[in-house]
Amino acid sequence: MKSKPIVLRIEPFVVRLDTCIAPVAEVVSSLYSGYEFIEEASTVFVDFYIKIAPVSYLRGYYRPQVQCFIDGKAPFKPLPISQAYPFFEWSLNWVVASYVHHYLLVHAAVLEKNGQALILCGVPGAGKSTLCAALMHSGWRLFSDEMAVIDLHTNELMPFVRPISLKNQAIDLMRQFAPNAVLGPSFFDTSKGTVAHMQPTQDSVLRKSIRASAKWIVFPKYQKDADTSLHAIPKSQTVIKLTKNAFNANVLGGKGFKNLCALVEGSDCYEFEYSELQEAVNLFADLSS
Amino acid sequence: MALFCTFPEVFTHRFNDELLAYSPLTGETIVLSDFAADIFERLLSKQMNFPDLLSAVKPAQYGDVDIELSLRNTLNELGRRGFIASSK
Repeated sequence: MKSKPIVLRIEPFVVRLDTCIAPVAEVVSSLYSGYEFIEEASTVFVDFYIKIAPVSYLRGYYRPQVQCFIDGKAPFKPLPISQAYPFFEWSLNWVVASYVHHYLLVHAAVLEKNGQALILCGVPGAGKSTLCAALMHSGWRLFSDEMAVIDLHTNELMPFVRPISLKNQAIDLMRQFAPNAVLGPSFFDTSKGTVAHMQPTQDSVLRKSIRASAKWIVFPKYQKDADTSLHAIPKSQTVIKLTKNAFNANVLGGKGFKNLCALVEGSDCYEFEYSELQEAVNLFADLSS
Repeated sequence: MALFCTFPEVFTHRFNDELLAYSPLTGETIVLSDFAADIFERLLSKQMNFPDLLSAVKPAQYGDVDIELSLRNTLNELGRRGFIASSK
């Protein structure tokens, strides 16, 4: 029997997910509860078509795999069926980063408090998602765990609220830090280790259309046993670092450069090292007050 | 004599004392040293040849350096990275 497509408004995009794999649909329904599920797909413009489907008849019996199709094409190798949901999330990251060039996109987590946005930009493994999840459960509104979406005309940050992808030790750490947080199932042996997704807070979902201007640009780094330290860095260096983390700065050319400079001009820029999550959260509370 | 000029569509931004430049030719963003910024800003305002640039740069400002060699290296590097161009 053909399953009904899931058409989901994840501001500022509309995503259509076709899948006959029941656990994927169940996790999407759970982690994206509070989002607009569009009943009639033909009534809206869909930005991205993603299909997660079993690979073939034989693979249904021997180590079953799934393939991801984006606009009918399969840009990735298949993954085990147990990783079907993270496959959807990774595909959505990929398709946005690859095809959306009417916004400036930077690989960073973004949160907001009192109308001012905090950009946490860092390489994978820097502790960005863990810090982002902890801040979200400490009074900050989530914009995105994965990418800063910047309006090219106003330079405002736009919410792109989705579940936060936690990895390995961060999963248990966040279970202790925020016992009331809703976490989806854990997916083991992925290319990133064990992965689990944390549902965004209700406030983040309800205010998903409200933008903010950047106030702080921070490059966090988790370092075992390190003291919590925040130090200012030059704005020129910040532009260089953001450019390296931008998905589409080269595509946007001079416009992207001008937007990044304007973003940095109005922001305080720091490098941040931490090992204790609560200390880090307290520091950002002080910064925002 | 070869004339030097900034490459078309190069973008710059100044943060206090530091000049940042972006080249659409190479897609590279760089922070210019004081000396390179001095040269680059002169070329932004007008095309200049090597002797004119050399006489425009004041040695006293840059201490005990070989200005001619520094200028030659700076022009080569800015050209290689797509920030300036020169006529034959």
